[in-house]
Amino acid sequence: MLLLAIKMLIGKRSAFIGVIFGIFLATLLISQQSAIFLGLISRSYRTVTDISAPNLWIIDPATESDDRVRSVPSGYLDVIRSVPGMKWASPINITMVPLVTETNIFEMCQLYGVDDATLIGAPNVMLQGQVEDLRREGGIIVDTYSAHGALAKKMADGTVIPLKLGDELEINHHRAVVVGICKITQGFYPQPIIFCSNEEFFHFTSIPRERYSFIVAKTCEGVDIPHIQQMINSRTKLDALTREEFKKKIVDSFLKTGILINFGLSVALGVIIGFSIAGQIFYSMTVANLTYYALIKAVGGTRKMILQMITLQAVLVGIIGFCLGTAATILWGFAIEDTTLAFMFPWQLLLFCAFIIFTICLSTAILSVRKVINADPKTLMGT
Amino acid sequence: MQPAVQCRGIRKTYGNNDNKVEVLKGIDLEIDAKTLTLMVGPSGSGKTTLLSIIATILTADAGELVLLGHNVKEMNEEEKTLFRRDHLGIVFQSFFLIPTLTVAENVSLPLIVAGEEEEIAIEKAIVQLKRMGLANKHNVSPSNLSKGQQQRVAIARAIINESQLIVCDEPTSSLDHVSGAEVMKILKELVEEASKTILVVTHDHRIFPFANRIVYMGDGQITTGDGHE
Repeated sequence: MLLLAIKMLIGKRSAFIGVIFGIFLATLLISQQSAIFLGLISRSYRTVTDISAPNLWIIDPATESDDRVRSVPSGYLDVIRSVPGMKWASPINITMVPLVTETNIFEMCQLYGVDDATLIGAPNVMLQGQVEDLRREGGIIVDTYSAHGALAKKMADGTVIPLKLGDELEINHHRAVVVGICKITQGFYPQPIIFCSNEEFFHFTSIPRERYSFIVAKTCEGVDIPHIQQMINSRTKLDALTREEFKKKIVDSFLKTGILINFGLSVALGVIIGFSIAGQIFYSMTVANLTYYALIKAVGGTRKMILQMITLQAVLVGIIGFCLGTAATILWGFAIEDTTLAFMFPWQLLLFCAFIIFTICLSTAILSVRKVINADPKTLMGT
Repeated sequence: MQPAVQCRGIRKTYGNNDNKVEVLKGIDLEIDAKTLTLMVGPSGSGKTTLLSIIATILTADAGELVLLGHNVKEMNEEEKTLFRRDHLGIVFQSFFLIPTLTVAENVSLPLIVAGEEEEIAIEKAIVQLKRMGLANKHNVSPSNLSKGQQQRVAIARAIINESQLIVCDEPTSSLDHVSGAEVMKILKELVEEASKTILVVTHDHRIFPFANRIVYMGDGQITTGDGHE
């Protein structure tokens, strides 16, 4: 009987393809827009992701993210280091600076200053050069995307020459030398990200040395972290946050921008398209087959049987459309893997999309079932 | 022998209040088993309504209906559906063959609905199609058949579940004389060779010679019906 349902579904080829296309389009829109949104969200806390050594971030309560920072007094560094159970603590600085290349390209960059001694906060993945070279005078490490993109030399004939070790740049009217090219998680804003030592940071920026953007810290094994957080908070009036807490704070700040509404509308559009295309075609197809459902009832088909047929048809088009849509989204993800575009497709997103598509198919099936359940065999008589 | 169909005091009214139309006014009718009975009468005489009640797809307001020894009045809708599945074959005027299925799949529909495995159901359908002279058409779409052939497919579908009672609603009205005669010949053979009981509602005078009995209806009543041809 279920095979019969499939044949009735596939037999109307144009309608069948139309329903699948609707589900495919809905899945593609929902999953792709959500993946881009999650990609952007994950970029918003890239600093916390990439600087993985510390388990506590000590920030001013007014700080919202790595680009909305209220600095903390440098004197608190020793206070934090003196908290029992603290393994180490290190300062990190961040600020925006103007940068000019040899070919007169001007860019505003995010400059990270890391502790000269420990280099905590420096990039983990070096593509060229050594992290230790940050201690050289004027030494900077540039992210690979900027080295090959915004900061690359654009020649008159159109050739693009990426930044390389030894190239000189001008940061805030100070000479800087590229000592490394690194791979980092890309940030939300498509601006170059530069690393230097704190010594050079203060040199490049002229920011007073008495303040740091953040203090990152690592606790000893087996200590009561909430207790340490409490101690830091009470001694410094700063917020000591775990990595997850800081990520959440950044995401919360990020969501205040209204980005969730924008992407939410895209997802809603996907749902509307799913309902309007797939739902409408599926419903029309079922209504067109109403006579044959009446026939099935006339030859002994029960309501339960017809319910199963409709449900199977809805589930089948749902699965095919969902798989095609998801595959298209994943292919898109692979295609943009090494570009600056944001994309993140966790398994939870797969479940979320499956749930939405399942709801669309179920609603569509319910609409159709209501009509089919009332298909009356007596309408076949006398016609 | 017990009659295949027993109607006692069957009444049916459509509409309500001022728009009430009494279509059947207490029909008493018995149809013997293994006969081909034609039910004829002018439009609006109630013959299709009576056939629908006998086919268990319409419920009478009053009266008693016994089909093949089963009292239909005592059945709920689900039981009627299952009764149709196991004991009744219906042939419709417009054939109602599902265009997205092959001829054999259309014929096998009642068996598949009854839970038969598709492979076995198709084999049985091909046997019935051979009987109808359509063995070589089992794998084609119904739309590739002539109207006469389509009606023969519909008859094959009606008898595939070994039902003893077959009701036909104007089976020849959309066929030409030759196709109509072919269809009636098949129905007649089913009565004589397969011991089926067949009740046919028709306007078509050309098929009267095939009947064992003709029941005349007019204004919701049986006017004459005792005469056997």
